[in-house]
Amino acid sequence: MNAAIWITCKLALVTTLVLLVLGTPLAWWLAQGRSRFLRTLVEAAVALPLILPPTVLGFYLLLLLAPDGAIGQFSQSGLAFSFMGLVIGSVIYSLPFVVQPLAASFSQLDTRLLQLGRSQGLNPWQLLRHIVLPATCHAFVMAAALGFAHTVGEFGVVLMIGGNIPGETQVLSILLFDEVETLNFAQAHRIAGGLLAASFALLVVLYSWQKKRGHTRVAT
Amino acid sequence: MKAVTTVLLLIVACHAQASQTLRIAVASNFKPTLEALLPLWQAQNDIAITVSSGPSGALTQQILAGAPFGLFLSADAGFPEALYAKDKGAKPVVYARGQLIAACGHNASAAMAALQQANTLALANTRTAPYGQAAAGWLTEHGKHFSAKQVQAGSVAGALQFAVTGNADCALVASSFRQLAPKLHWYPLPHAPVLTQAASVINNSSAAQTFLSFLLSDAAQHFIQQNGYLAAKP
Amino acid sequence: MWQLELDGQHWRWPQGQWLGISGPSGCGKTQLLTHMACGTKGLLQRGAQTNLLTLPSHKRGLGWAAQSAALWPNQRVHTMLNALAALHQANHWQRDAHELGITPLLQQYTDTLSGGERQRVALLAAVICAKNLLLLDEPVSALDANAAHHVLNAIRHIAAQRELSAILVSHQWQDLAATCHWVYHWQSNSFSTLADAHRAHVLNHPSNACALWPLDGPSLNGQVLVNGQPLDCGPLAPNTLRVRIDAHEVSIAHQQPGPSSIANTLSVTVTGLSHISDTSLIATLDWHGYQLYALITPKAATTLGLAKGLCVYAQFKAHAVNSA
Repeated sequence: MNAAIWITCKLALVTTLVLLVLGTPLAWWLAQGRSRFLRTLVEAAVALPLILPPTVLGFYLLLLLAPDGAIGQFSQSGLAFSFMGLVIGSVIYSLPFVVQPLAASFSQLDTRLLQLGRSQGLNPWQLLRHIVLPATCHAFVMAAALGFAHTVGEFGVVLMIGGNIPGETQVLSILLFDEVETLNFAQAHRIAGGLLAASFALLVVLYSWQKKRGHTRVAT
Repeated sequence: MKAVTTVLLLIVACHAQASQTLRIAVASNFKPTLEALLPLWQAQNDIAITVSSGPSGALTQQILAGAPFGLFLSADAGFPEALYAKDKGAKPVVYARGQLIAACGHNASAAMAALQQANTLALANTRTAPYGQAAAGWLTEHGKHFSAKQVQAGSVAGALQFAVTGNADCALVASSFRQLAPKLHWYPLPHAPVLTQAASVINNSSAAQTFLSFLLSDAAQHFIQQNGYLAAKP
Repeated sequence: MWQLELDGQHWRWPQGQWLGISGPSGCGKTQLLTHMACGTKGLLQRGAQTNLLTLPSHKRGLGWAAQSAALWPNQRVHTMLNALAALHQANHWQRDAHELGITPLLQQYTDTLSGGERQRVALLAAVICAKNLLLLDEPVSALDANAAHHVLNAIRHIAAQRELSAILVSHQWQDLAATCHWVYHWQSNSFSTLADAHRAHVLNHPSNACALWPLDGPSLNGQVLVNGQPLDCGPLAPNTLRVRIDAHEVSIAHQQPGPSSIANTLSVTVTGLSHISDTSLIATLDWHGYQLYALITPKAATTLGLAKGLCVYAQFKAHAVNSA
């Protein structure tokens, strides 16, 4: 089980980091980009994993990641059933959970504040660091937490492209499925209970942090 | 930023330490037996084993798609043959022969009576799991008069789990599961189908070859037969 | 010399001096400054240097105190100011912060400041960033008259030390009167020196009439030098550029008055009489080319026999001489 916990945390962590790096410019473009038509298309594409059955993603990913697939051909033996493959799948699967809060927050940024920052001599990187990030840090925390939690809770995609390999692609949700199938209910209880408690705790922390933030704003 | 870098380095470092490991893809019915056999293997060898289980059909598909397994222990002979035909696995070798058996939550005089009383009957997936295929075949020949609703689990282990949790009254499963659920009532089937379970070495893995020899050794075969299988050689 | 060419307007004013833009709210003054900070059309140029409007926004070296007084969100005031100072190599900003009265605010979060506090911090940020020109958009609108006066003088003093020019937008005439050398009056579309603009302003707003005189130097021992002559004055705000003498503080005598508590007596010539109401009348007096205004009753004017060209004596107390 320890291996599965480690794999799960590693997968969620790597996925979240990748999503923050890729999702931030994407969300920025969605919030502030010029082409309205293109933006609508990309917005819809980003939201797709919300409504699509994970098996649809799993099926296409399986084809893409196979040794002769569009993505898999860049690696010797394909990327399906490898940790890297899981990361690719999870990034796509959790994309809306990171991009949407960021884009919503970016679109609420005051344009005058950005104009001011620009005229104060800030280059885009400094603008991001001194104005955009402080103004939207709550959205980043929210996006990271949701991306992490959603990746931990992933099952269908991992089932299809993971291969259930202990120590490599066997995440907690898959291990739980395995333990239930093999009637190992004691272990299943530990995993399920642990996931339940951890997820609940994460949400409680997140929401109380949000409330506290809202509170100090009003109070001062 | 420092923390993030540290975590990344840690992940990379952990990824790099790949040791001598044999990954076995095993049909769900044989997984409990295989895991029980591992201490015997570890006493003689220092090759680590990781076990992934599922329906044989799904495992075959994964191997075809490039999953990094060294040995495939199927629940039938057909799937390893298919791999062999596509040059994805070595010539299949029979390692055990399994039997289909009925597991029920209620008491009855015999298998047919128990199955007749059942409202819900759990099978393994009739397309991807050999035990599901065997069960479906047996039912068309001998079970036409059963009124039970048939439900399919992903694998034969899933079918048993349906019966153990009480969601299904009976399940047609592998006899090797008998020790897993002693609380159920187990009834041998008349004209019970026998499944010839074959193994195939993938990617010419020498570790897999060694493990297969171990499986066919007298000690291992004796242990396998104690777990509800028939001998590999009839 | 600064030049600004925009929408058919063409203004020029000397380097180091301030241009004031006056007009009612909503007439487009803010858009004008925003365009100078972010827009690309037109010409904004010092001497023969590059047209600033052809440079990207972050290389123009402008100190823009926007009307919204926007500050960097979610951080302490000193975090923002330190980052700006590091960016612009402004090492002595704490001194300016002290002068603007924001030293006690440095530890606070920017989102917790009041409107007036925000404006003062935004002004300091603009001063730190300015290399070429200050753009001040209603910078003291949230401050009371006293504080506004103090802050504007402080900014003017800091700008003078660094030879910075500024464009100040305000709908309050006294803001412009205290700081600017040139004025663009939006409604009449006229660009003129402050003195000319002030003359027109007095005629349009006779009830608030006052003389506006530049100082030759800082005040010393209760005296200031104006037009080469010493005048007794009350306490003046530090860094005062001009003094104002309200018209209702000025009285007129036919003959040279004897000694009294009234400190200042000037020999002046009547250049105009404008009727305001049945009870009041503004007499425009010329003192070596400087305008002085006296608010008197029509009865007094008749008694004195005031007429254009008449030489009289104008009197006002030391405390009538205030910072503009």
